[in-house]
Amino acid sequence: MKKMILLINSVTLLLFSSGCWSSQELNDSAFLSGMAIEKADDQIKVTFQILQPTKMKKNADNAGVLISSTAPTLHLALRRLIKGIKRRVYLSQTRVVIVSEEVAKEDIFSVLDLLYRDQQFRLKSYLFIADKPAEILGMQSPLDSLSAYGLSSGTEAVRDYLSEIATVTVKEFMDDSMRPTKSSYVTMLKIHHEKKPATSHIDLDGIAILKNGKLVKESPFTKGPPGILWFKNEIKTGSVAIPIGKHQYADIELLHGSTKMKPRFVDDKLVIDVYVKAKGDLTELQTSKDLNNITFKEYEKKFGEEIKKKLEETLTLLRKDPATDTIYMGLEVYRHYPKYWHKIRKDWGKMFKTVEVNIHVDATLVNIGLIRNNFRPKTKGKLPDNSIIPWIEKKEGE
Amino acid sequence: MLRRRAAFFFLMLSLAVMVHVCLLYPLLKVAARDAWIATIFTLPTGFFVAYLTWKLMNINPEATLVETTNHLFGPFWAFFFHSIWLLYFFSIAALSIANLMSLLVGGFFEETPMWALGLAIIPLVIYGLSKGIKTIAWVAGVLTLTTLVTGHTITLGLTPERNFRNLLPIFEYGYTPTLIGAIFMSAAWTEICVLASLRFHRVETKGMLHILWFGVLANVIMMFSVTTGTISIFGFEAANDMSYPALYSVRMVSLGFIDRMDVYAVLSMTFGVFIRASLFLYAALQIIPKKITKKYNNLSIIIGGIAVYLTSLFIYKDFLQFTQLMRYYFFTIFLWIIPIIYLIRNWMLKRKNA
Repeated sequence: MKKMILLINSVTLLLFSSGCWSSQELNDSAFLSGMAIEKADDQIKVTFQILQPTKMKKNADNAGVLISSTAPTLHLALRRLIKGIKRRVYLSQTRVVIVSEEVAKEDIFSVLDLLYRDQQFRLKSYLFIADKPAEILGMQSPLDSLSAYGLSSGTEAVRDYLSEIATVTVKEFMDDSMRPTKSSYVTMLKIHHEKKPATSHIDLDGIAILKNGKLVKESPFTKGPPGILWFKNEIKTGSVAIPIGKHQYADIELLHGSTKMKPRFVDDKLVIDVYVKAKGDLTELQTSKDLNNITFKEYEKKFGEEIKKKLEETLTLLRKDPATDTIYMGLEVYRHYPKYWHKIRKDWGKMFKTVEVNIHVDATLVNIGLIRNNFRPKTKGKLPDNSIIPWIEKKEGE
Repeated sequence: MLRRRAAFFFLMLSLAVMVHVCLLYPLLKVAARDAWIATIFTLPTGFFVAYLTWKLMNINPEATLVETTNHLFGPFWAFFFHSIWLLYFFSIAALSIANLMSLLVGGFFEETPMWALGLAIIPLVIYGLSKGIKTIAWVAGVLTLTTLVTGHTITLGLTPERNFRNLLPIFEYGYTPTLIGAIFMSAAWTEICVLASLRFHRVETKGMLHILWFGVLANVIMMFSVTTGTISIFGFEAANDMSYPALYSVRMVSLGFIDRMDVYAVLSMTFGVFIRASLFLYAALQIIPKKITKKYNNLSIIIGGIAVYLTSLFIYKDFLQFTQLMRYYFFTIFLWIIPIIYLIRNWMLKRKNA
């Protein structure tokens, strides 16, 4: 009997050892690296970038192929893609999703639903909005073999070294969109054409601000990125240029930044205090003015002022109609005073425009780099003012 | 007879599947953002049920649960209690297989028919049981040690994704949802009673009770870790919208050489359900009269396995129906009364004989 059971079990288990159900050979599969979603009448036109592994292996310049498909839903568009690519498509390697402004203005959720519902998509794919998404996806990446990979690795570098520029993954966008304030943002892409030499490149151009999944306003980076990440306490590193004279700037490398938001009531009126702490190193100085204790403190103060200015500008931008609280201000009110929040949640859009916000910045400078002054103060044979050589005493009148 | 540590291994694998994977979805619906606090509140009830189970084991450490029931209540009432135990153990075994199928179909193998997935695990359960409960305890031991390492790796891997401010505000709707959540989760502790149907060495010692308590504590830590993890990573609103919140969390883990750790969910769930289904099916088979199971041991295991498989297919029609059904799991909390009845009856008999 035992032998019989063993035999039956072995035979049954052998049936499953041959492979998974509906298994697909690697050679018969196509892998999606990025997709661009646009509007096409009442349907959506999706341009897919399919990676070509053989070309990638040879480090070819463009190791992808672009194929478009039109359908009422993204899933159907994906299935129709098989007609063109002649293979089953796998989605787990999708690095970027670019949505057209037109779609974003209408309703971005409707085209992104599949990304959350289907188990194949990765939640760490980057999400972008662009006016010409398919064209962007088709552009050659300067350093990578695929534009989608180039965009993805470029965005990762931005997050690590220029974190003042707000970028979002599919997961982060979902989290923000579902929070009580229902506002979120997505980085915008644009193709920049250089005349001499004639080249084109894709740039992170600004941010699109969405409310309830609809694009309601844009903020180009022409004046610098808004300080959304400062408010969200997600700033890591970056660079802050502070004006210190006419056409003169000091640059400070941000080492650490943190923000705390504390709502409170003053005479039954809601007031929000924003406490910012920033630490930086002086990395560039465009002045011949001597760097001493006084100027150092002056730059430190301006460093704080510059951050404060950035935060105030961001607040002004977000308060413009329609009010979009993407900076978790309402969320902080909710976290601190949930009962109060339930009373005002419907009116938060109006309140956000007028609520008193006090921004307190505590900025400190730590290091000055490897040199003190770029232009040495002229001493004319005398000891400089900042002399610290203890055994040479200054004569009176010097 | 099993060594006492086997009880800990069973609690770590079998109970963990229910408390920190399967019940997470309904817990978020019941206790909302305070689900993580609810998990802490379940600690005293867990200790209480573990104590009840220990006392139940000690009514007669040499006897099986069936023998103890017969001794305490006589054939008529024993049949009544045996029926309840049988139904409970069998249902949990089937529910476990259904839970595994649900996760695998929903999260991984969308195109694979449900019956095929169930059919893959049931032969393992039957084979394991044919080798005896000791073998299953050994497997549970190895798997527990493995999951202790992998579990912590997952937790560490998720650290950068966490934002603990997402756990705020606490007690937004008062204490009631949290308490209801705690009571709901406490229903899972009923499963500890399954250990009373096994026979352990030196069950009368305090050490055995401490092992049970330690098992409960470990499960509460796991529940706490998963609830805080899911909410802190995604925020409550997004977490509450997920069909498989625990799965979504492991999807976020990237170890460099593995981009997505979904496979960990498949592995741990399969291991856990294998141990769980085997344990409960074994306990159910213990209730069936020895005359039948001793003579046709392997046949009874095969029939039991097939019955569990068919029931699991019957249980899972679709996801929404299944989650509705999971709500009835809460009612197993009323089974706590059975060990209490056993203990009172034992006390009465002792008093009578004295």
